[in-house]
Amino acid sequence: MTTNLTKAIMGAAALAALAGTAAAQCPKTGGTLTYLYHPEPTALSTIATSAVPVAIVSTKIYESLLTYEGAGMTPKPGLAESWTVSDDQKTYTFKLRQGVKWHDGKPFSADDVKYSIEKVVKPYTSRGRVYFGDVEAIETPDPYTVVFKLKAPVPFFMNVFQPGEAPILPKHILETIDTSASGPVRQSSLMRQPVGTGPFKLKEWTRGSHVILERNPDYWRKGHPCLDQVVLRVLPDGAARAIAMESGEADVAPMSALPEAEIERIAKLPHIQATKEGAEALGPNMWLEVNLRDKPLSDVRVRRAISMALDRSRIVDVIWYGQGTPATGPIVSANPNFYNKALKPFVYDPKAANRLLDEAGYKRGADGVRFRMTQNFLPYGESWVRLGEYIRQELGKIGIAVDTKSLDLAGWLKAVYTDWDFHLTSTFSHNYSDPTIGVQRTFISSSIRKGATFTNSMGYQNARVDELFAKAARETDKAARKKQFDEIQQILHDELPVIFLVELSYTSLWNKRVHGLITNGISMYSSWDSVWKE
Amino acid sequence: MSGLALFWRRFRRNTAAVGGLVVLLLIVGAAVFGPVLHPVDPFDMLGRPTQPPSARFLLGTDVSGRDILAGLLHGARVSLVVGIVASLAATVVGLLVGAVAGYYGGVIDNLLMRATDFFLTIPSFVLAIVIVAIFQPSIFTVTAAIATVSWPSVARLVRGEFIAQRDRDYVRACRALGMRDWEIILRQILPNALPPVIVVSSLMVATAILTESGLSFLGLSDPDVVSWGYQIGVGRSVLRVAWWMSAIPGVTILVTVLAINLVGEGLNDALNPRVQQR
Repeated sequence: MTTNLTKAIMGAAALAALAGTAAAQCPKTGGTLTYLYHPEPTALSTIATSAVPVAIVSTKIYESLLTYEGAGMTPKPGLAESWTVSDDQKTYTFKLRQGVKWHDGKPFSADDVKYSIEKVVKPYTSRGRVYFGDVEAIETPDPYTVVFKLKAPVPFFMNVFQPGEAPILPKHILETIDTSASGPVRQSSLMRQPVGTGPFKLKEWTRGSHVILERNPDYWRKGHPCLDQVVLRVLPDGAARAIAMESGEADVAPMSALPEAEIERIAKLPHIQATKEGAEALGPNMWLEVNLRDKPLSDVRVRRAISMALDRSRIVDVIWYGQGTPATGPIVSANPNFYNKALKPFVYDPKAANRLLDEAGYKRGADGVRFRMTQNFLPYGESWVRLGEYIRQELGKIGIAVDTKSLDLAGWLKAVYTDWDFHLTSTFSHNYSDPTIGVQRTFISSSIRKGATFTNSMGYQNARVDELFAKAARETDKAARKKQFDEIQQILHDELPVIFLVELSYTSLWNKRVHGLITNGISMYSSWDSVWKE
Repeated sequence: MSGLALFWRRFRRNTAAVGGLVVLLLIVGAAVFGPVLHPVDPFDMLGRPTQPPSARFLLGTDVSGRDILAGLLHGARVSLVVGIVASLAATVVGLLVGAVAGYYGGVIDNLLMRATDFFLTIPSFVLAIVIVAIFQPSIFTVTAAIATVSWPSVARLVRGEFIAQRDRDYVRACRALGMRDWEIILRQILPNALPPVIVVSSLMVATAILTESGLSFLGLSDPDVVSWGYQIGVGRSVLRVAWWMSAIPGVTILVTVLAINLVGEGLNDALNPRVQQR
């Protein structure tokens, strides 16, 4: 009787599993999906930098232990088939999938996971220390089991294993690389000739033109990916990108890859689908990063004056064509759990800005100039150039003469995050689902690290902020955690280590013949293994 | 009759050149007085973006809601200054190199002319792009890059003139009198070699303006100044919805370059009368 019941249950489970597979099968296989993005990725792995173009392409090649479903990011199996969490939330045990192969044919095992996280992800990615700082030990009792032992519960640990955030790299290749410093890792062949486990593998990368990824025939998810190829075409000209979407030459323009001026027009075309969905877990927040190491920018009154001289609504309306909201602090207002509603909007008041600079002792010279400085801008296209022009213009009116430096992505990353050779630069950062993941890295003093991109380039140090972030990272009481983040937001709002400008919003467009793109809160940073094309 | 009056009489005979001169003077006038008569900062966001021409904005607004007319007037300054300074610099360098090479001949000539050939064999616009990209775009590097790619043609021309003159009797007489080489080069031969050079460098201004526009169209311009090429580049991204944004500065460049070419031809007629009567 018991055996029969067990059999019946197992049978039902098997049926359900079958049904699950059937539903997940590709309606159609084959075809090439072409997507557009500019600038060109500087590498094919997010170990080098988590910049958007890199993250989009590399998440098709490299995978992590989990995949995610829905805007709420429900964890689903990835390289790990199943997992258990101990009652004290300090031990996470992942059972890995068997028979997974690297793109070069070598078998994947628990050693790869341990080695990648310990040697590369934790020390060298911008959020690595946040994710794995509390990991006491990673154990591999057998080739298909990985156990993470934590010193203290990490409230967001199940959110960590995203393909762009905690990619698993092949140990057998990492061993041939000097992993003792970030430089050799970022220059290593894995960044240019990636070997991953993902549904697509690199076929060809012609610099300045395109990246071709082809189907990985040995992919562990049988019958997937649906597509034969994923091609990234690098078209530096925004109008050309728009035309490529219009003519059907390209299939997808992810994450506002088109100039804002064109998005509205292209979105109205009958063969185009446009959405702001699929990026819920990102929360892009744009600001001006300020180098606090030198006068006069080290003076908070100067930063407040700069903040007051910029009209955020105008930036949203004119430069971003209404695609965004004026920012009030480090956490975007769309974040339902942690946004501090008590923050006041930044006011636009050039007169007050002038007075503040007078008070601070920066008097206008005979030519009306108080002091000179340079600015850089994020080289992501026309809007950022326009923003730079606007900033120069408005700061000129309050007596700050700004010279603009124009650099390509690699040069910009180096100037801002490696050499700290800048005064002011526009950039944006993703909030992610939890402030400890997305926000902390920019403002804590321990992330003043040369070379790690999108970290504390400002050199901002505030012991109270450090303390609050450290507490919040381990706080299990939700209300207390919210209070800690509220205080952080208020401090950063007042001290302006960066000049908060606009909460951006992403619009992704695709040709209606493409299906299955929007799957979760990081849709464009997902593997696209179920995306198919008519 | 004084030389100047004679020059003017010859120049006047070419009506197209006179027309060109009038247009050019208008453009120079606009560049000099425009920003005073229309005191609007070309980088100020004044209204809604991509407005067509209207009474408030005579030429409309660009993608950031900036006054295109103001940009055009400020751009005239930049384009003309870059054009004139670059071709002056190129002329000076070309004169020096060409004069020394042509006057001395021999090994010096060989060395200098091979160096000139080196520059002549590289497509000049591509070389200008490379120079600006390496040294980062600013008004200074753009001017220097244009001068760098422009001097070889002047050097070639001057060298030819000097070779033709260096064995003339008056030069020999100067040598016999014990004049120094540099005196002979500057005071004696140069004035005779100058007319064709003036024509070439006036035409070079037009080429320099075009090159500068090309560079700024490609985004290789000083990010802090407006120029015509930059305006076209900005308008290009919305060509489908606001064609006039690129067309207005485009036509301006066309008219300016045409005017300079016409004036250059007039100069040629006036300074080299024999060539014309050929």
